[in-house]
Amino acid sequence: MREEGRISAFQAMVYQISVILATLILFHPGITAMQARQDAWIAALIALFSALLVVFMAAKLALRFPDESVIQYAPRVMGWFFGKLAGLSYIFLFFWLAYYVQRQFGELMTTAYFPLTPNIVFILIITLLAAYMVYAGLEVLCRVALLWGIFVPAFFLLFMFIAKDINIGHFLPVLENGIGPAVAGSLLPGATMAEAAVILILMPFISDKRRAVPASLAAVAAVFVVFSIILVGSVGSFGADQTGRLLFPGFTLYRRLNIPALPVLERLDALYMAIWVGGMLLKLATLFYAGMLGLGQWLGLKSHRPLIFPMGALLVALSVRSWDNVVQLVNFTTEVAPFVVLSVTAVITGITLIVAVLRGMRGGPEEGGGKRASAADKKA
Amino acid sequence: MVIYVLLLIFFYVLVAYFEVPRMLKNRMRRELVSFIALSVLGFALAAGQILNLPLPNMNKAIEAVVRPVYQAVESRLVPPEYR
Repeated sequence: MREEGRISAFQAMVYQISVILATLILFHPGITAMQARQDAWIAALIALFSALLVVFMAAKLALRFPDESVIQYAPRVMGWFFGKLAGLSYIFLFFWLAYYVQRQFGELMTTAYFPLTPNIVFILIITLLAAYMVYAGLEVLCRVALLWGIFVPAFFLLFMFIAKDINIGHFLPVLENGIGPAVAGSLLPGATMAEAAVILILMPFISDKRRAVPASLAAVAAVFVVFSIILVGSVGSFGADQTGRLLFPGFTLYRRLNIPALPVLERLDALYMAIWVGGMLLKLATLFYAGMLGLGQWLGLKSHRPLIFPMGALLVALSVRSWDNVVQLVNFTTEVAPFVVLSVTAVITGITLIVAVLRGMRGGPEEGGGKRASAADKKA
Repeated sequence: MVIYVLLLIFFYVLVAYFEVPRMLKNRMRRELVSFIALSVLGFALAAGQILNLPLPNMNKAIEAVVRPVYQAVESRLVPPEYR
């Protein structure tokens, strides 16, 4: 495998944020509000803690083997067959999320902005752009993500103009039916935030590895803040029932937003679209990149670049094939997606970590290389 | 419909024109084999959709496995009037 360049822990954090953010602010607030009702904010908190746990586990595993990705060390840890199977499940997860993202992008564009244009047009455009970004490599991808990331906080600060519409009564009564609905509502955002486990693939390219663990946890916390702003804003101003019925609550919320001091700025949802489209492109590119890198390592290739365009075409075909319409897509998001994501990011990562700890395996130049060098010295 | 299949073939020829010579020059056999496998798979799926052939849908299989799990979880956690 060719050297892919080096990134800092901060850039890895931006990479992780862009893996999570764009879809977390699309369907997810509505689905969480539908399941948890007025306790949606509790669901968001539960999601935060479960995602922090999963990502902490993943980052610890990645730090045990700082110079390899999970695809490379899993066969050593769990035996050839099961290790390869675990590696394949990570690759599958990234590609599966990638074509799922393509479809979500196409659906929002056709539903909200371009009702007459076919879905496939948007999917093709975003895939070609993402393929170009993946071709350019990891460092370019991280810098573009940073460029996008600069605008995001400013954009979400605008949500403070929603604060005057929030009605505290919409959050009462607290825990009317026990903690159950809040736990059910936390599944989907928790699973989405746990996608920051992409650190397992990124770790070999991070230059300051010790800071990678706090950086990944900070990435989860940052997307939690954005998610809860939209969730609390939309449940507080529309009520839980109506938020649950909305397809894209963040989008509707932003459309309502107006700034009293600046009456010229109306219909700010164009701004939302600008940030969100960029986020979606980055999400697709980052997932696509993680999948391509993993596939290259899984097959033992020298370079994954020749496979980018065929894989992109395959993803387009899969994204068009897999769902019939937007209702199916939303149902799938509610019922199936969290379990698929968690079964890889939590279960398989957990098993790999437990096996690695029990067998006392570690990678890296300090331990492995040092031992080998000392053995060679003894022989000499 | 035929024009779409021709466009698809054109896309794959274009990609192969740029990628295959480089792989041959650097003797990357594994890359070439996986390139061909991915291209055939993608072409079959895309052409099948254009021509409306009945293709297997992987997501349906995932749903069939996962949906009972979701229903079990939901019936434990969410009271009936919330569904």
